[in-house]
Amino acid sequence: MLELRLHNTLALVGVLYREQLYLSLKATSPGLRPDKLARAVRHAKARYIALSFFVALGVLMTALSPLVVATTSEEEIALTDALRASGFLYTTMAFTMTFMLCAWSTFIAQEHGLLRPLSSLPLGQEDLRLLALLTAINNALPVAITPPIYGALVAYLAQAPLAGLAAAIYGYASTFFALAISLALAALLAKRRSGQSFRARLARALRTFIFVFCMGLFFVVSQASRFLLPLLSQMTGPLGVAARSLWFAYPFSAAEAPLLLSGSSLGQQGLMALCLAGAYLGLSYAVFSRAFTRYWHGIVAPTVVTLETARPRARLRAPSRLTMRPVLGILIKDMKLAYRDPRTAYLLFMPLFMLIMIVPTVLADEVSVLAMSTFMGMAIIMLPSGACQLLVAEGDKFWALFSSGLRKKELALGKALVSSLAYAAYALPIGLGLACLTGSWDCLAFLAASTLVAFAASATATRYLARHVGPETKMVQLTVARGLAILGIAFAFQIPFTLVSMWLGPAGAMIAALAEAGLTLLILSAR
Amino acid sequence: MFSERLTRPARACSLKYGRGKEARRERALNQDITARAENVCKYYGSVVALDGVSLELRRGEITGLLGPNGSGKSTLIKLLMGFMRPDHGRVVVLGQDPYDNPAVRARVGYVPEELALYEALTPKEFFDLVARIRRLRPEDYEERLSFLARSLGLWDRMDDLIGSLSRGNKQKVAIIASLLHEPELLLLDEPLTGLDPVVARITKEILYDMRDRGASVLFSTHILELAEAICDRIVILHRGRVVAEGTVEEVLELAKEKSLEEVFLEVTGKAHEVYEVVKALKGGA
Repeated sequence: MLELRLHNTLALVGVLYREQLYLSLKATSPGLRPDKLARAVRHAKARYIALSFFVALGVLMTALSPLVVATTSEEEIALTDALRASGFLYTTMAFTMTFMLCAWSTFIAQEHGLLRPLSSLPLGQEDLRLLALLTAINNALPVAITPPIYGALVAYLAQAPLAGLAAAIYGYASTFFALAISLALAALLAKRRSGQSFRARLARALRTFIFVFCMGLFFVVSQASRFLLPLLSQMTGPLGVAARSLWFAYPFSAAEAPLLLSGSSLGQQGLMALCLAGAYLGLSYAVFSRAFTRYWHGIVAPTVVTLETARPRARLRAPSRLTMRPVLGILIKDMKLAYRDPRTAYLLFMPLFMLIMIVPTVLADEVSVLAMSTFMGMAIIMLPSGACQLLVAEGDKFWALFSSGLRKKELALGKALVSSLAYAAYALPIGLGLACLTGSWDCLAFLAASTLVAFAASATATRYLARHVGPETKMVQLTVARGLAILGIAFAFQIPFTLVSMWLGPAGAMIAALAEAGLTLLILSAR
Repeated sequence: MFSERLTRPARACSLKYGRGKEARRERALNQDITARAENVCKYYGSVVALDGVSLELRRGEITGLLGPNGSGKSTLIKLLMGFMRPDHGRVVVLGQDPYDNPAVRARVGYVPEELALYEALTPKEFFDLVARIRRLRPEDYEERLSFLARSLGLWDRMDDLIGSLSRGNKQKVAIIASLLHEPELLLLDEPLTGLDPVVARITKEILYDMRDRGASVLFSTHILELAEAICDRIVILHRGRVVAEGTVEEVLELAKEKSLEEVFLEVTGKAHEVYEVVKALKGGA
């Protein structure tokens, strides 16, 4: 087997990057003219450099803003708070950007078998591994150049070189952690569990759960920090060391280390923080290395794991007569697909994340009409976007639906039902639970009303977007204009509903919701 | 011209019939015809995909659509499905314009050339979806699906994810989905690609069965022997024009050639090209 030289490796990575770009442009802009597509691919290198520059600049500017404000503003802002905020922001940004950019690369590599043509070339295993690695992480490399720059700037602004060193180390640790999670999830996706047995279903459910959990992990941690930080401050007194030791946990430690090292001399705490940063860096690298090995095996030889041997069927059973309707067909199919493909599973879990946020508010105070209206407004704006995402997720499979005689209004209603039912499945039990706990039915009434309005808004938004799809559509494009139109539709439903709710309370909310939903169904069925 | 000699006008109106008789004959002909393209043109930018194509598909007939790559076969099938509107001319399917009346697709079966299926669904779940969209009666659907799945050898793979199936098995999924509702018109774009000989043979038998029940079948193919073996009529497209049309015997007779392959090469102007390549190959050897 041939061993690649460095310049050949870089040339091959460049070719693969152009291929990635071409495939992603083809997927997202199927209507792009061939000459424009060729031009875009020809300028791949310039595009990469520009993207890298803006990503790196965006991460650094966002992360450094608290420190810049603290050191330049005339107002008294404590450097400790600024350092802590900057550290946390940087960790979050580095992690999120790396995860997203790497996920994009691995997605293209997997979906289109980017590395498969290379396996027939006379290349060594190590070369192939290196190419797979560089292809997976090349988009995230701009983030990887930020830790030394961020570290140097922290050292300069805080006048503490060791603080800068710790910040840089945590920057790399965050990057490695994000790459590790992204690669591990890509490997997880490469293995499809086939079959209908309980074991196969359980395996699929576990895979989806892990994916969604990992996707939401950082969101959950950052949200939790909002509640945890004041709580920890209260607990520091009675619990002492136990509470303080939480600062050693990543990602809180990333915010605290520069702070502990910002003093003029390296104390015991500072030394510990530095050692901890090194330990996290080692750990993150080990995790990344392991994840890459899994990814390598998954991406080169994607496997379908059948967890059972096919049993001869006695007969095929038709679905229930009640479900033999096009709208229900779309609903059932989308529920199954969204659940089985972890990349769209978040659409089913997103309402849960939203609804959890209102629980503490309702439990702390009695149901405030203003708070509920604000929350419901958010749901009414978010759910139509989710329903439209389901249309985008349809990809190039519209032919299968339209060639069977599906009408666009049926498609729109089916998609709207998916997102609305996913919301209702959490909203109604949570509303019922809160009603039992607080003794007031207002919350349940508000949530039920918001479900109806969200359905009406989703159905109208998907009907609008469905106008732009046909059997030949390769992928629906969510352009800025269409995005704004969908937002406009959502507001058109949300504003009157919110006004009536605030004016007449839960009963008014229900009446307004029933009116909006009824009117929408009437208009949609008439067209 | 050779190609003009072979081309038969799609609808030759005879003047010997009177006005009433002509109308009755026209009605009878319409009942017999499932799909009709009249002088259809379709352009993709400056590229001419179809240039004045006329075609009729009759009940109880299997029509083969032949032509080299890029000759407009898939475009013609998509126009008949109503996936796009012709730039010029008219398409009528089961008495309606399929573009303006997409509901007519409920009576048509279609298998595309490029298969994009829901990889995370099982074949059974995909068929359930199609049955729901087509509003099939559960008992009819159950019986029909059992028959087709057993016949095409997909019975044991009904619970596997489509993503895990081979290209041939995915093709079977698309073929079964197109046959579930016993369509009156079946439009198949390269339907036998990837199928093993046994399944290909069974598929042919299913097509014969459809024909015997009075359905029209139009399928595009590159396999000339296949077209020669199973088609009642063939249409050869070249650069968006119909260059030959008729029964296999008529085409062979008019062309005075020995095989359909030779006719194909002649009417598409590829005979000389092939001759040159063969000569070069032999010279090289």
